[in-house]
Amino acid sequence: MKRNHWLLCSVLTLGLLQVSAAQAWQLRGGGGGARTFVVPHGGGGPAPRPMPQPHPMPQPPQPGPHPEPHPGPGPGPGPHPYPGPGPEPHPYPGPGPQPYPGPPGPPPPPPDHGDDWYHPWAAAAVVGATTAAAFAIGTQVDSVPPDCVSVVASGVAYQHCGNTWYQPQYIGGSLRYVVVAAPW
Amino acid sequence: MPPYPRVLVALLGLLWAGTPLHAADELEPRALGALQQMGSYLRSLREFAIQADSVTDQLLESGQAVEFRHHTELLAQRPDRLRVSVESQGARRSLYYDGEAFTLYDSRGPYYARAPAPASIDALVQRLSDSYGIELPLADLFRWDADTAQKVGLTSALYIASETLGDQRCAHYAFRQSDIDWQLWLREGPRPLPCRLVISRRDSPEQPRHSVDYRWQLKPAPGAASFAFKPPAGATQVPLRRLERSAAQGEVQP
Repeated sequence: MKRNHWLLCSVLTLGLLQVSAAQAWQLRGGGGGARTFVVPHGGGGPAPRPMPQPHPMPQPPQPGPHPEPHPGPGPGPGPHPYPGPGPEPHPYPGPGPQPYPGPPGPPPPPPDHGDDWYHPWAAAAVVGATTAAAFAIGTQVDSVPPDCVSVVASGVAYQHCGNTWYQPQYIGGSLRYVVVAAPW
Repeated sequence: MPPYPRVLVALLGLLWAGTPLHAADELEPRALGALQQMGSYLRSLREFAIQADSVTDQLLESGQAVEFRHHTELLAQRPDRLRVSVESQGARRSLYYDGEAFTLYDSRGPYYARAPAPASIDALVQRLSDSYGIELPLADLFRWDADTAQKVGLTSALYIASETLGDQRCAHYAFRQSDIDWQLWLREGPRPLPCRLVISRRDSPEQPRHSVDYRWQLKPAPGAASFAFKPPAGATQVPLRRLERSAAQGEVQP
């Protein structure tokens, strides 16, 4: 019991250190950076759109730099128009047939990852992922704290940090760490 | 007619005649032709290597623009070999393409991702963009062709001057299209290669800029191993996420 107490204390302290070590600056969201190409992407269509939130999620309770949104540097219009394919509360929750079985609306625009190569890497600073408060499943970060443990379970790579599990993935060409359910 | 208005009319006429044509609406044939020649020449290169140093503005929340520098190395062998790496902040990100598959590797994590690739660099550029939301670094070099000037909808194209950049003599051009102003310095002589490119956004009051200086090598003589990715010891393969749109169209995750 006492040992657990000390463990918790040290973990929390580490978490605080982590937060205070984060950078003092934040990039403007919604694509405020330079455009790095002349010829528009995607077959001559309009230049990149703001990146949609893949998972509308509750915010983690900590203050400090937020892992999302990843500010795409494209020339998209200001703040993110959330395309919101997410689980909106349905006005008619009845299980009956949909009154409008028509098309489900346009698909969400592709994420604007195009300029990731020339975007400051890991601009979404490391957040205190080792604290007791876990992030919501689906949260993406650019990097994980150095004290995370690299684990490969059933052929799948994870980073285990406190009670948060991240799965490394390449998303739009960038290595990202996505919060997933514990594999065991 | 009293003399006073006549003088006024004459003055107005002089004023009108003295006003230069609105420069923003000028499409100089010389500048358009240079773009066309560059596009055709880039398309004709069978292999090349580039070292590029770039400076990219990003905006802080306050609106202050700050610079981020990257060093890019690109090695291409048409039709189906490519290697690109970008270095910044002590880390390196790479893409390898060997004609059958492409690999992404970020030196900061012991992880790489790999997926099947089409049979040419051009098809790869399209596949990366459409299915994964990935643009190649220096992607313009692979998208520029003889028709680029028409396709991007230039509203202005001007020749500025002949200038010396490093040890190269380069012709300086200025272009305008929707949302961006850009400047291109093209090597003079029989090989119209880009010496330098600057892009400024006009749709943002801070007008953030991206500038690239290119160093070209036209006989790099790469070996086959140059394009093969050898996973570093301990590196693990991880998934590569497809765009939701392409997944919804029934494409299969490799």
